[in-house]
Amino acid sequence: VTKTAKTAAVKTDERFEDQLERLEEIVGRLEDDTVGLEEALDLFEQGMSLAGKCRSRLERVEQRVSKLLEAGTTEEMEIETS
Amino acid sequence: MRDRVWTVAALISEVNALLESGFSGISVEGEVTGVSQSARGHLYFSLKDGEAQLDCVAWASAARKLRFDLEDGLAVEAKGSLTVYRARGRFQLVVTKIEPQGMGALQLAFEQMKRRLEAEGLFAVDRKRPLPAVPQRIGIVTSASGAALRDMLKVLRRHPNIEVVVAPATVQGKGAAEEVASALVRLGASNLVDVVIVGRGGGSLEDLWAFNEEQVARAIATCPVPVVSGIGHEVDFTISDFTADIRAATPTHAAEILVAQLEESEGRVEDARARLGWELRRHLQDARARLAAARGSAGLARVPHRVEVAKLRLAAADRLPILLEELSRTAGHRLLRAEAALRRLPGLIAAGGHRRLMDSRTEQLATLIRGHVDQARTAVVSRERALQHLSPRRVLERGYSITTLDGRTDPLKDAGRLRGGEALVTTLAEGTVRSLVVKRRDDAGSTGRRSSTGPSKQGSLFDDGGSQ
Repeated sequence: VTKTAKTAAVKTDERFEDQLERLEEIVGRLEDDTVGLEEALDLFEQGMSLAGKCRSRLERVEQRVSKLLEAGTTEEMEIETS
Repeated sequence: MRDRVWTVAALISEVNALLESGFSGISVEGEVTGVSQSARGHLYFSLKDGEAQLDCVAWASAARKLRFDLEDGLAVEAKGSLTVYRARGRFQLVVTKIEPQGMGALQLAFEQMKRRLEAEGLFAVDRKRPLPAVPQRIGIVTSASGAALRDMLKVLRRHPNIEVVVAPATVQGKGAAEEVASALVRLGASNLVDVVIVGRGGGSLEDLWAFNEEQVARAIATCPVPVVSGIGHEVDFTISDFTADIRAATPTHAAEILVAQLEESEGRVEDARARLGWELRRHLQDARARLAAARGSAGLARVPHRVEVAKLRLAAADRLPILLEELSRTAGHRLLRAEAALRRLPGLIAAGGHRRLMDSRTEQLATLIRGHVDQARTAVVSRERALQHLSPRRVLERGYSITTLDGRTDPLKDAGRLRGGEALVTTLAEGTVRSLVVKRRDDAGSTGRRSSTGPSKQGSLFDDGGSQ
């Protein structure tokens, strides 16, 4: 399940930076008092969807340390950090 | 020897023997001039001072050991032995070692490399790439056994969403530059990382030398992802530092920079999420408050002029006057629609969303909706309080009064309509006064619609009005 979720996240073409910028733009518009209630709800909906995308992008990897081998593959790496 | 007739070869051999026995392992200082290098790598140059010039040669084996570039004008001390170049019969110094004067060979080599690559534009600011917004998959080029790697991992492991790929390389001594450069190339080509740290703990200039080599600088410059250098201590600057997209003071600092960048991005997302919720709530609250105010106005209407006075007071401070009129018609309808849309939201998000996020979001939205009802209630109460604040009583308490024609409820605004003998009712903060109009005064400050009536006279409506 995590594997397919990961692949899906990687396939999102829009860059995180762009998504985040759009999200902040939406928040900015929502801060405007003259925005009507319906529009506010639309903006909220769009914003939440973008925030969800940004969040899942940030959670894409799990903590791991691996070593890059000559062949270009990786293997688990154990390092004493204490 | 004088009686003998020499062959050229014999003479030169004899001289050569004398030179080699008397002038081997000598040191000569002078200024380098006329440097050229043969295809095989032999270096030819001369040493000169103000008066004389000496031919020198450094065979390829010696030339290769030279850390810096031999340049014309350089003041050096050359060590070697004198021999005769038989084909020309000229003697020359066969150089085994050259040291620049005034600074160490490494220092000079560093300065030369820096100057050369800088002239090439390799350090230019516009070549620097920004850090990725999400530096999550982090490549590290360093020694697998060094303290630098442990230091970096200590920092990076504090963050749950960081993946590290280490490309081990010898970072010191023979072959180090090749290993570092090739590790960089492999990491860059792996497609596994968003950013690369080139790191090494502190050491002498000699220890850090690999990071001053051209091939490492080139590997950094051509790396497909941004490179952060964290080499040596704060005070150490290497060619790699100048070439890297970002120079960190130490390996630990390099790791900290990346974690900070990642946390900043996370913070921005969370902040935006929080503000979305907050702002939506504010819009709903606002709409509810407007509705409450509109409903409240029905009660106000029972008190003569109350709404009128409130409107006047509010005109500059609030949008309420317009909304009072509009919202009583539309707000109820709009709120109902808003609530319906809100109820739809969890479904909408679930349709395109992530299961884990969806659950938490559904919960959040449920809380949000419950919150709206409470907040709307609070908003009504607070708006009512605010309106009360604006009640005419407060205005009257400040010494103003409201005057109407006796028997009417709309406030009197224009003295022009009055005639002598008409009865007025004046509402004060405490009690009312009934008075009769004696005379209307038209002064310059009046609205002037009826300026033709009667000459101006002193005395105000209130002063002259007879009390009941």
